[in-house]
Amino acid sequence: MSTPKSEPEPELEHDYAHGYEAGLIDRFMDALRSDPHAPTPAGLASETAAFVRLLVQAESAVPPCVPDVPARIWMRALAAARLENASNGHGSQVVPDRQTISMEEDMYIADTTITRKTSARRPVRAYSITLLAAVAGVVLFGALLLLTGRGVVGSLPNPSTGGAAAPVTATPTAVPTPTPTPVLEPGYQAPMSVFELGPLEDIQPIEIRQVVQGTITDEAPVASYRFVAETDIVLRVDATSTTFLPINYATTYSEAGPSSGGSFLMEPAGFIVALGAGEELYLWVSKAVDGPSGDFALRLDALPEPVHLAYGETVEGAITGDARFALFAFTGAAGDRIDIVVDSGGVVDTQMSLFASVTGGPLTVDEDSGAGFDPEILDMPLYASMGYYLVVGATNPGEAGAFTLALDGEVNAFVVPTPVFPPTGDIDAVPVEIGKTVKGSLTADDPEATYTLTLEEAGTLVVFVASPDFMPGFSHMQYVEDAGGGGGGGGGGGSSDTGGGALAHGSTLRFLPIADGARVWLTVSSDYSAPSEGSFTLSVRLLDDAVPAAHGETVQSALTEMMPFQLFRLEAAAGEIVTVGVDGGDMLDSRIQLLDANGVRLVEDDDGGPGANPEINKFVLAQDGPYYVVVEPQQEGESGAFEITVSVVSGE
Amino acid sequence: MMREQQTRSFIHPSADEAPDEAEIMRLARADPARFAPIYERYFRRIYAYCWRRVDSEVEAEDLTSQVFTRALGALPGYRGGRVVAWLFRIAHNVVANHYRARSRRSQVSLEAISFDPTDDRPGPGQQVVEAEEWQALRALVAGLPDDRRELLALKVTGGLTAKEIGEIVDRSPGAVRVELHRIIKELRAQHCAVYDRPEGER
Repeated sequence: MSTPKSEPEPELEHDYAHGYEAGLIDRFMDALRSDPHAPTPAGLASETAAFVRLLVQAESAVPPCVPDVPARIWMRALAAARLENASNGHGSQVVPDRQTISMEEDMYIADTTITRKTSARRPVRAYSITLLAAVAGVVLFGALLLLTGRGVVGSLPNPSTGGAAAPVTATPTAVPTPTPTPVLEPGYQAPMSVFELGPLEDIQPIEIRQVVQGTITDEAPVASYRFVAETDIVLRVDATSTTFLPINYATTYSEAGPSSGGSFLMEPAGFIVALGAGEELYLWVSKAVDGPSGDFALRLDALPEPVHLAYGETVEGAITGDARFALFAFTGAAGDRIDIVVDSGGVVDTQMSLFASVTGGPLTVDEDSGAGFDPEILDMPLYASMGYYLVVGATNPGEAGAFTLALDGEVNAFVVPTPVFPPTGDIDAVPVEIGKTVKGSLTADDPEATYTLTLEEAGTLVVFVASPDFMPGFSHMQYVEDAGGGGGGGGGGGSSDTGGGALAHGSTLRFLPIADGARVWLTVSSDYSAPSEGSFTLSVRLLDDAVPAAHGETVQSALTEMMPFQLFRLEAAAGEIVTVGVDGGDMLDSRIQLLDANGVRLVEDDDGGPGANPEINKFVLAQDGPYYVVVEPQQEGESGAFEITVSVVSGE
Repeated sequence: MMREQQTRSFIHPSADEAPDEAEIMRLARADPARFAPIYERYFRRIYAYCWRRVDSEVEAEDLTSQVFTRALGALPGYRGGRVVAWLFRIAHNVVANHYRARSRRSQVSLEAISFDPTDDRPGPGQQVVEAEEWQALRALVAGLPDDRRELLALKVTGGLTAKEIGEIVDRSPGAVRVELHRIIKELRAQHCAVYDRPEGER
């Protein structure tokens, strides 16, 4: 089991006590980069400051670099990029056999002509891309060298040296070998499943203002704690971690496991929870099966009574040694747009969290958007009429001071659409086809986009929404006309769960079972944890179209603008151990998820494999399959070919 | 190798880091050559970062080339935000890929990365009395585990904020700050030990 300790340990206390110093050092390093003679900040020991100054000086020194290197690298990179653009089959672009590359920037001027040796479109196999790039690179440099008349070792003009020649060498790109099929080590012991609270007898008590710490490893993947409220109370839960561990909470616990809770990232957000007298709070830090190990620290604080305020008001607050947080409350209405500004006058470095409920994670958090190191939240749209809570605390433990908080709001600043169900009239929806990807955008005035399609036969839709600008949320409804043609029934969908997850990204994927002949409406919005303005893509496919991937097979596939995710089906039984590797070569940085038959995410990875490639390593299946693997780009909009290799071995 | 022309100087963030970058990136999507000002602005920091990570001029040059090749290829996918953070995320992935491909980082030769105390080339190295301490300090940094060298390089060489570093290495800003604090503490303790000083002194 884990190694939780209910007694504060020196190292942990050190972290909290010296978090202030960590913040000072961080800022001092920033200052030194701009000004090597930046003054030592108040509060930082002179010996420490002197050492930081020395370290920054030593590590800021520019390494040896011959003058022609920048020009050489720029030409190499630009030529490779242009060649790649010419060969990757973007749209219907026609690429001439002879292409003129002209670089007319002030820095590096070179005009030359190259002969493109191939008009091949982007090949499917990832390592073939690299090989093509390597071959093309050699061809390109050969052409450059010949054109500059320098023979095998040529020169490029370098304006920075008055055109003096400098040697040129071409470095071929290495060809990566395909990912080998992984083999389990003898005696391998599968770790316990992720997100489990652990045995009840291992749950440690935790009290207000008590600092606890633990170490999460493969062998001890969970540390769990229990708090019992003696009176009505609002708690703030904060945690730090060396490795980005998520913290989970629940307010009920039974044989079936914890419930009525959620999962949130470690600092800086924290979260708040309201408990009645006698109610319990369970907290546990757990390690993803393929996630990192690390140390963590956890602390509870009781929040003071909230200070109520209204739009247009400015109130005073303070952070003291006894009250690490100040709590404010106001009532907002759907359609309002608010500004919140904290002004500490430079006395204390604060952060601010906005909550839509007295229990849960924050809608948004800000540290330094305002003047100096003060936080501010501007143009925040409210999508629900309810009481909102603001928690202001010191960014660095140990800081204290007074501040003012100003709240302003524009009432009815935008219209919040109200979903209608069952549909009684026309819905402003855009038709979408199965197998297609459509692009759309959301604005503050139009924060939702609805699409529609009809299924002739019952089936399961796979709906994928991705956005580089906001965390997409998603809802759906379906409607089946009865034989009499009068009305009918359907089912409503829920919102995406991507908003607070430990590994949430700018995409969401849902499996939607659809009835015979049902008309379906798919509505894209943000998950309401942040403003929802920006572009998105929506892809709709059938689950039956998932590509089979069997043990030992390597499947070639690709992500493109019009196919921003790929779905693979995997048949496996309870107790078997799955390893999935994706090889995107140097060209595709992807991430993968393993889903169960209902589309519930079991595990996710982005960089666990070689290079930037993802890998799910030795995941133990809890029940018989099928399972599904989703491959999507690390950054929305990226495309490229990849290979996926699946291994399923017995867990015995 | 025109070493006699090279100078050693400090890397400082460009004063004109942000205002025009959105427009440059917009133009560069249509024509990669328009990326040149960004390249000029950040080449030294990316090169220095790669060099810090691999301790080899040749490898650093190759990695820097890969970083900007990937950056140019990724221009259509750029969705705003600080360009420097975007570039260092790419650099982080390129260096990680390099390490994986090499199976593990080869042992660093301290001689190979040390400053030559007899070096008479101009530069701040000669302007700082503690040049010898630099050498010892950089040897200590070279001995750090990869993940710690990475954090230090992103912070000092890259000039990124704790939040930007956290986004790259999947840690919270607070965790980054705390880890940097620990690194500095340990380096300082080792440094004091090298010079046989009590920790109260530098």
